Amino acid sequence: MLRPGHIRLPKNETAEAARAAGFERKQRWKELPGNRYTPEELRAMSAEVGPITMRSVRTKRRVMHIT
Amino acid sequence: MPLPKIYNWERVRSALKLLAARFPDDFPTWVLIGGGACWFYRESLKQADDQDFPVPKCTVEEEQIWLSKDVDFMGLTVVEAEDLFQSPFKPETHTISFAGLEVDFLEEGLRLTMRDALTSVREVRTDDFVFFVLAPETLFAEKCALLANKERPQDRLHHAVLVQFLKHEFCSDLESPDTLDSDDWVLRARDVKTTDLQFFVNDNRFKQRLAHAIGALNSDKHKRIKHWAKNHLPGYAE
Repeated sequence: MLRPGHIRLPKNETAEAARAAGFERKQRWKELPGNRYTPEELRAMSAEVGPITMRSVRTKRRVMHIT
Repeated sequence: MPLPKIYNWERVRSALKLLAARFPDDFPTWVLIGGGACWFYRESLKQADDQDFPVPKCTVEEEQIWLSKDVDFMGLTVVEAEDLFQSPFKPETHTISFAGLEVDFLEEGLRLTMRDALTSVREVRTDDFVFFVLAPETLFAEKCALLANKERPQDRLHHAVLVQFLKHEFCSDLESPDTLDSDDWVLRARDVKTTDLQFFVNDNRFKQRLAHAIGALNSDKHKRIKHWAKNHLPGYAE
């Protein structure tokens, strides 16, 4: 279960060591195949999302013609 | 003394056509910005031949400074552009020379970011190629920022063209209700008013034409525009 944010972890040597071990474990997990998106996967996902801005979602791109 | 380089829409068009042919995979990801984009809107305004909003007249001296280089784009970093064009970036002109052209790739404007440039674009179809140009409302915002922060005579000329083009397009879109996209119209109007609070206030002919066209719109289909007009178009009432 997730620890609520307002419950602080103790700041002593044992807690720091546990935190460091946890951080290393997480980094090792991230390096395993499939646990991190590749740049190609991120680009593909971004293209699927399409042109989104904070204020508006413009689904259609306006087309103009000129001679 | 060398003769000054002559820039006009045909030259911009030729530059775009050449780049589209030479870089078919990369060109569709570039967005035309700056003076070249302003010239595209100047040419579109000329072809629209709107009697209320003509292309502003320029003196011979102003024509000489209208465009300072061939084309500016967003879509590549300077390093990526140097790699692709196999030519060094020249800091003194802020361009890369390629096949007789002076091409610039801007990474960041005053207000304009790469993200804006890629999300706020229009597709332009010519008879023989397609290119992407920065949307006029976004270009207008950048020009207003340039006017407020720099002393470049060409920015005033570009700004004058964009004002006329935007006024023409706001009116002509409303006058074609069958193809009018209310959401898009209101978003553009918001963008322009955010840039220039007085844009919909000062020009009486513009206000009259907008009010007349909005008054004739179907209340159900285009209620978002009518709502906008009640709140943002001075003097508008149903």
